Amino acid sequence: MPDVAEPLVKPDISEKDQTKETLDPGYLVICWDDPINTTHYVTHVFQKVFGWNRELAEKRMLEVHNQGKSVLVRERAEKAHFYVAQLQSYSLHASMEKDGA
Amino acid sequence: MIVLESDAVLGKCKVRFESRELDLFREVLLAYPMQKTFLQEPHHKFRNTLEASLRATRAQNTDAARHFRQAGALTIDKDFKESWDLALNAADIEHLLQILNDVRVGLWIQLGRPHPDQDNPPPKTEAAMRAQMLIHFCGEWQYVLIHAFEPSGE
Repeated sequence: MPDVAEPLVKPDISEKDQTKETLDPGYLVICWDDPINTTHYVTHVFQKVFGWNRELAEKRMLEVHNQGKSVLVRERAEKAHFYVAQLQSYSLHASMEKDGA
Repeated sequence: MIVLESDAVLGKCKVRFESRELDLFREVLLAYPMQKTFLQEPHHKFRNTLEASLRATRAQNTDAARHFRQAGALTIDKDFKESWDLALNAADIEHLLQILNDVRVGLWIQLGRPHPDQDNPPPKTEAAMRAQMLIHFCGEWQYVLIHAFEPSGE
């Protein structure tokens, strides 16, 4: 499927909100397993949101399915929040945690 | 739903619904949005911005759902069998996938989040059976849309 404009919504975080904490690349984006989302769908969403190829997206999908969750990326707060919003817009169970918290 | 034609280069495809299937599809579009709360409680510092992002996405998808209800063309074949054809681009497909999954997950939550490995089957009521049917169809349509641009046989 070609890359085209997608229904993405960027988080509304202004420059003044970019404190030391939000710039710290220490937030984990986690996707949690559930019994309702299909494997094809989750793989597709990972490809769209993170730009991964199918092989990597399927690998992460299987981690979610088999281990109950997968840490998808480690990012600064603003970017992690953006990814969580994207995943939740596709109705996936996603959250972010401070690394080491 | 079947894919009538697709062009991966242009990112466009045309799908066809049978007339009975179309009623279910429109029912799903009308039901959107079903989810009003977070699936996973967000990090408290970002709750407001996450809510704003999801509100904006739902507004876009609500517009898309309205468009999908009104778009499309009735076709009648030589045996007088009616169907309904809908042209979609790649962005439409993403909107539609989000709409279908919102309703799919929303219905599942309404049913009490039944889990196949646990002993919590959904109630055996007419409404619950209809919800399960819609969940099934939404999943089928999602599968077709996800693979719309792949060569047939993959």
